[in-house]
Amino acid sequence: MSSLTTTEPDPVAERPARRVPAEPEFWILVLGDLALFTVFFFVWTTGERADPAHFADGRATLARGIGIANTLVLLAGSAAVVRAIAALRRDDERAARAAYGLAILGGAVFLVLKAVEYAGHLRHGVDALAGPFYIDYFVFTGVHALHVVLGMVLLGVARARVGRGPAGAARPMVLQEAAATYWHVIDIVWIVLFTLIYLG
Amino acid sequence: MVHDKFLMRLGAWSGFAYIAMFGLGWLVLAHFMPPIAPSASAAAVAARYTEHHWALMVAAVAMMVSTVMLLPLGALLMQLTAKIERGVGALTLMMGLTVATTMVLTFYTGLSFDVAAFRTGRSAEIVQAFDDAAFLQFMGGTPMFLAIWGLLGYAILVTQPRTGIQLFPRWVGYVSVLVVVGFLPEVLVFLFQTGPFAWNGAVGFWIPAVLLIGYLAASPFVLAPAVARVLADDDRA
Repeated sequence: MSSLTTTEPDPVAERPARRVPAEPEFWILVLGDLALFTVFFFVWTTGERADPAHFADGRATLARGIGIANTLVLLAGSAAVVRAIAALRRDDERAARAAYGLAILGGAVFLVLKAVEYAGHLRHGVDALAGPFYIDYFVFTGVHALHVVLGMVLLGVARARVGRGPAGAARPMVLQEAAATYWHVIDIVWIVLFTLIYLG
Repeated sequence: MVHDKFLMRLGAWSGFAYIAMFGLGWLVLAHFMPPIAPSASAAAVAARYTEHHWALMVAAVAMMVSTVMLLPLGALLMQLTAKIERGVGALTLMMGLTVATTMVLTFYTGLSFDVAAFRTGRSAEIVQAFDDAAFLQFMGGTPMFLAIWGLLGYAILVTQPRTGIQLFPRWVGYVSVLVVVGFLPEVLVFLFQTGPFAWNGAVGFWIPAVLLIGYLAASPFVLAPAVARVLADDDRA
């Protein structure tokens, strides 16, 4: 027998083939939220097309290093929530709590870096009234940061609930998968925002 | 407790009546779709109120009268919340408070429009100030009304599974949370006179307008089945 084969039943194969993470209704919120951010992306590209020089000048004042660091922090957080869900599926609650803790810590680091970036702009006299680039920049990244806060709260609730209810196949996973999915949404939105805002 | 069937059914449909009455004022009579631009000069704003003096006054009255339509809807939302949480708890009390502030907000939006339109020949800056007040309070008044959707979302997604009283399907809870998320950037109308976040912009006006109109127009089709479940429960008791 190959070392890759196992006599244990495959947990993925045991689940219904068309299972949706969390619950199907939750995806109304996910897709709706993505639709709202799509409007933001459209607003950004329309604004940039109307005044490319102003957007290029604005982009040059951004701290790209912080943007890259924040992208990596969120990607690491997404990897952590994947590990948390995987740990729960094998009933390793301790590892799940640790992974959730890492993702929440990643969210906190993201917010601190964002605050440092905002403070830098304000110190140089640049605020949301310094033109369309900065209005869109502060508002879109600000609304995204608000999502990060909401995501951290969701992850915190999910982490607190890890030990509650039955274990094994009967483990309640709706909240866990919803929190993890929402964190991925936050990550995906940031990747698009980062590309549009910092890289152009 | 035995519920009044007629008043509950009236409540289920009154959101529709509210949007029709308010829409008669805002859309049909005032043509505020899109709204008067916040960047418009005082003279331009005053000219609009002078030219459409009567239409804008009657529109303002329609908006103020629409407040009454919120009464049965608000009462029903409180009753359903109380049913879900098995008694008058914090959720029901908060629902009552935010319904009350929403009614105040609706009335004073109309009143501000009426003051702007009431006397022709008034100083343009004064007309513009009341026009600002009307749009800012209605578009930006989220702290007064948004909790309705937040509380509904909580009641459906968190409280219903706890108490076992299923009045609404879970998708209604998620849509309610989505409305809250869609309205979050609305406070920015207090800061910007131009661009997407101003009260006539994509984010400041069109997204919330679509969410609000869609939700209220569809509300009877969700509320009426919930009422039917409560009344069926009364019959069993």
